[in-house]
Amino acid sequence: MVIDPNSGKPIYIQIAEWIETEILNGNFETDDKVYSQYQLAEMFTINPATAAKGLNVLTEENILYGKRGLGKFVTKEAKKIITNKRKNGKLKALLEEVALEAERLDVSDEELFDMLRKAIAKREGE
Amino acid sequence: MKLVECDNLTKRIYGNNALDGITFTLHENKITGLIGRNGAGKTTLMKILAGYWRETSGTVKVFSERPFQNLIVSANAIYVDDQMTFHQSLTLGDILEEAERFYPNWDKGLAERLFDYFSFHPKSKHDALSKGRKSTFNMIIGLASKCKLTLFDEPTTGMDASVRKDFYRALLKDYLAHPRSIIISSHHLEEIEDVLEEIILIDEGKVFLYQSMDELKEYAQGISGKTDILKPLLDDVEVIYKTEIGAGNTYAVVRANSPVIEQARQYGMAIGPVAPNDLCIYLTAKHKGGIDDVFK
Amino acid sequence: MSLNRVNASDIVKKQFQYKLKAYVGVFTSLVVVQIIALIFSYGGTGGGFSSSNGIDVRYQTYTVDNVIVLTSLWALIHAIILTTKKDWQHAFPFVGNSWTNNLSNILLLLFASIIAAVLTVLSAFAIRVIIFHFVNEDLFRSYTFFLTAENILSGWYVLTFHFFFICAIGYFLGTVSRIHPMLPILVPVIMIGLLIVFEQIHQGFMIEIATFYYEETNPALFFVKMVTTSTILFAVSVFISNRTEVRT
Repeated sequence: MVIDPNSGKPIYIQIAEWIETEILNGNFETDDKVYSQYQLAEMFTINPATAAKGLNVLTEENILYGKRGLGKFVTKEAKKIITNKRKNGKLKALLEEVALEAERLDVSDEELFDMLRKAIAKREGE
Repeated sequence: MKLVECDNLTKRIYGNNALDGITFTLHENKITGLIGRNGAGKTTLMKILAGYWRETSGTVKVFSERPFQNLIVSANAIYVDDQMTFHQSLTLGDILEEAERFYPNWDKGLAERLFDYFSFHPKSKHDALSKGRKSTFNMIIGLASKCKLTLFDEPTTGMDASVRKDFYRALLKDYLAHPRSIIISSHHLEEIEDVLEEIILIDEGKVFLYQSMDELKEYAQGISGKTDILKPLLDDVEVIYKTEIGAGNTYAVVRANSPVIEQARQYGMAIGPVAPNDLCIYLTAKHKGGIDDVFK
Repeated sequence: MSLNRVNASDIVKKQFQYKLKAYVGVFTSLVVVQIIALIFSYGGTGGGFSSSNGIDVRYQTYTVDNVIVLTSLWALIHAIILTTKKDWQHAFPFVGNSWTNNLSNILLLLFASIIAAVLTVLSAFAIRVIIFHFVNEDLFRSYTFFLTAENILSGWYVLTFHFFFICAIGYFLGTVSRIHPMLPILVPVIMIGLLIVFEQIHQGFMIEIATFYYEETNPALFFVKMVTTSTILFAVSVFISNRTEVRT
């Protein structure tokens, strides 16, 4: 992943989301140490304060925990929290967008459900 | 420690207030962006901080010292712009040698590696370099001097896109290794915003906004929707920017905490973030009107 | 990162070394100027013809006056150049302020004056050698043909302060001119105008000034007069330029 400066989404949120995805993908397991703010700054050419803010957001949400002077580590509940958050947050927002777009385009509910089923079937086939 | 303190700092140049009573405090070891239109006072502020220009009134302190003609400020701060000139008789190699003698923290290894990376020749003359090459060379001096305060005034003038990218990466990596205070002014906020921790937006000699970069990204939201619905909603709120797009559509930028956003969402209007660069343009153009007003 | 403390004398030293390197042109131009002056001197600076008792005497004087005049001009011009906006700004990419910059400039001018005086004295030797070998006449040498150690030392002493004095004038004029863009034109006009006016009010004014400085036979008094005047000129220049802004 590369930081997208044009997304308008604050970079610290992009950083937080990137680490979440890494955790979901299994690149970081429970009690693994994640990147430090300086490593993140270096990786993405961003200000370390911004990277720190991304890590702090995850700490506040109990996805990471800090050990004084050692860095940030993945909590046991991390995966569950991220999954829930994305379901309630990102997925919900996406569905709202979909509903809005469907309304604009005059797509019927049945048609929309059908499209969704097809999309799921396609992913499962992959 | 407080790095810079300005209190009601004013600078008159030929009867105009280039800086008009600005007050702010900068803390140490941050990368700060100084953003504003041409003539907003960016260069004036930087030259005062570097000790080259004298304030007309108010107070200014750098490292708790008054900067004008101050030797401590001169030894611990460097101002880099595209007007930097050197004696014609000195070669680029000579200039680096001299810089090393003057700056106690000079990083010779870094200077040489950057010099080679950008394929400079030690026997070249500074005057003979193109604009972009001059900027690149000056940047090397700015970084390698490792001053406690580094002021980059439009450092990427004339550089091509890949060198600009290299510059920001070099700046960040060096900053990570040796945290210090860096102030960069630029027209290209979209290019530098990632490496900035905070920005100072100045307009007409005044500090318009002083925020962390993250706050700025969440400062405002853009709404686009049908003019006849959106327009009445905007009547009682602060609107940062408004323009009509196509027939019957309006795009408006409002503060992120504005009640209009929720209302607009209920109408199903598209709501999105505003790029910091655009936002700065909108904010500083607010009182003057845009280019479109000229053609009305 | 803690603040680096600096002291002014250290910076002045560094700036002086920097300027020696940056202004090599000053010294090469000195050599060129002296050679040109020597060539002019080859024809002699004065002469005459007299005849008595059936003996015709044609005499020619050879001096280093040309060398001194041209070197003085060289000193004046370089002192002015040091104060120009462009050269002034060249001193500021690195550590320094107006005060250290002025002091290192003055040191540079003093150093240049010493070198110029040495070369001028040497040119007095050179002209003797040239005349001795190339002027194809029977030479009746005057008593000053052979230079004594005292001649050499006093010549060098006087010339050093003379050139330094000229530098001080140039530095002063250059600095004053920087106050306003009109002044580079106005200053010479006013200076010449004032001299003419004084000359009209008081006949022989200019000669008196020249006498005051250059007819002084007491070396200590000469030193006091020269150094005091130079110091005043430099002090005023420093005072003016410490107030001006740089890197415009």
